[in-house]
Amino acid sequence: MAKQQLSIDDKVKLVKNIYNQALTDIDQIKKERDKKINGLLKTIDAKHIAKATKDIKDLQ
Amino acid sequence: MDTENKVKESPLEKAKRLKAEKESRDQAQVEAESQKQAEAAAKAEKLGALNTQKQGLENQLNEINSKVETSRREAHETRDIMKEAGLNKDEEFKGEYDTTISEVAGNLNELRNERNRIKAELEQINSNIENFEVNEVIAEGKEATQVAVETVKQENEQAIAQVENYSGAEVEEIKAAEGVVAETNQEVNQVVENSEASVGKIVNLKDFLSNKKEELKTMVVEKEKNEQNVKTVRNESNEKFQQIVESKTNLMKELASERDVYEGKKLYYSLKNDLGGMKKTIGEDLERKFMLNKLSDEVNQEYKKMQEDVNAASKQEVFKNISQSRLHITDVGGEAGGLRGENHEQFIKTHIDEDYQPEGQIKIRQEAIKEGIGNQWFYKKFGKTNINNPLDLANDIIKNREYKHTDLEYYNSAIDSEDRNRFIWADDKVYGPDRKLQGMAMAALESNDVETAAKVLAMAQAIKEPTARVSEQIANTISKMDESKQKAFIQLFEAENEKQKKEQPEAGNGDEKKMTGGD
Repeated sequence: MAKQQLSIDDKVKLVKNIYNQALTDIDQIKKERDKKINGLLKTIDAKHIAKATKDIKDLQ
Repeated sequence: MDTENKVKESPLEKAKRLKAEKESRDQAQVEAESQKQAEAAAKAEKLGALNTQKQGLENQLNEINSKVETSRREAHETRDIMKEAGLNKDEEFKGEYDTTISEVAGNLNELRNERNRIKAELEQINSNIENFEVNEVIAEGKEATQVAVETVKQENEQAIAQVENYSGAEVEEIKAAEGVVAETNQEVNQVVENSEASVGKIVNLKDFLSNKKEELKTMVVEKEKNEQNVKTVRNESNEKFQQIVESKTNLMKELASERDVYEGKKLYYSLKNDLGGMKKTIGEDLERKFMLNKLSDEVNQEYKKMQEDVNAASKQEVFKNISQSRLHITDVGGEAGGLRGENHEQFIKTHIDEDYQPEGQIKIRQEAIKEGIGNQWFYKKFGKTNINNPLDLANDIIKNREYKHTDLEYYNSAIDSEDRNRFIWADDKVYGPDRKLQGMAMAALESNDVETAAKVLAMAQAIKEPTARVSEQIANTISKMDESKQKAFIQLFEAENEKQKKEQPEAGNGDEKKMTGGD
């Protein structure tokens, strides 16, 4: 019943909070994504280096 | 550089710069204020439009209410008129009555539906006006999140492209990047969805609760329906289970029956197979039996023929023996021999007709002894009725000694041979027992066995005095011996001779003479 008596201002505040939280969550998701992508790139680098090292050893 | 510039900045320049900064700030403030005012104006315009729309809808509602009232009144009036005229009960006008009533009712319903539509629209407009600020914030929030989502999508594409174009990237990493992006999209969409739901709950809390209440009611109804369905399904399942159990029982019975039939068929074919084998075996056995019978017949015939031949030969041999024995009996038996040769021949002939096999011959000889046929070649075989027989005693003495003498060899061969050979020996008419004993004695002398020679020679002399030729032969043999041996022989011979003479009276009765067969 208390929620049914929300004023317009309260509703506005709540809605703003919800969307702000949504934007924050999206931003966090982006950071997690970037972190994973960077991890992948590091993995590629590591493999690439290992392969190059092996090729060099093979050549020697 | 900035520091150097600031240091070098003159007051004039500083004044100009500060002026420019202030003007720029003021301009920004003006623009922001202008933007704010524009936005406020836009909002006011939107709100004004909503109020205008509201006013219009209120006017429409008043108008439609008036129309509805008029239509309702006219419909009632129409119905009352027609009823008062009894048109509704008159068969002729009843159709018209129904058509007219339907028409006015349809018109009234159309107006009422239109009024309801206007009312709903008006309520929505009122709600929009009431929640104008909230809706504005929602619109801004939606736009902001939509921009953020679009940004994420663009960055996702860039991220995949970055991995794809990265030196050394392989399919494995590209797929992993795609997986990361897909996960990101999913999470972002979930955030947007959750935020929209939360906002909806706030804006339409009353409706939300009402909807939830309805949903709960629906769920309760569905639950009750489901419970009822579960009961129904359970009952049906039980019935089906019982049916399945009965079917299974019947099937098991049928299966058992089928199995019995199968086992029966299996047994039948097994027995049939066995029977075939047995038939084959019996056939082979019958064939073998037939061949055996045939062979047996042939063998029997051959055996019978051989038996006849053997019988004929045996008869011939026995008759030959009988003939010889008869001669011998005649020769050695004489009047004192008991049964005469002719009688003996007759006796044997009588028995040979019954059985002429070797066993039969034994029987014959046994019978002959019982009858008193005292031939030495009978009692040798069938019983020593008189151990004082000289030849028999000599046998015991010289047996197993290897003497070299013509007579003795002949005698030994007869001793060691089978009964039939004894029979042959006994048939020898040339030498009587005395002569044979004399031969043995000479053989013993030649072997320097003076003791045996003395005994045997004394036996021979007890039977018959040696002839002059034999005496001379013995004397010659003795003379060839050593002197000591000669003396020993003479002593022993005299002692044995005395001994024989003492026994002579006992051997001199009729029975003795019969058994020894002496002359």
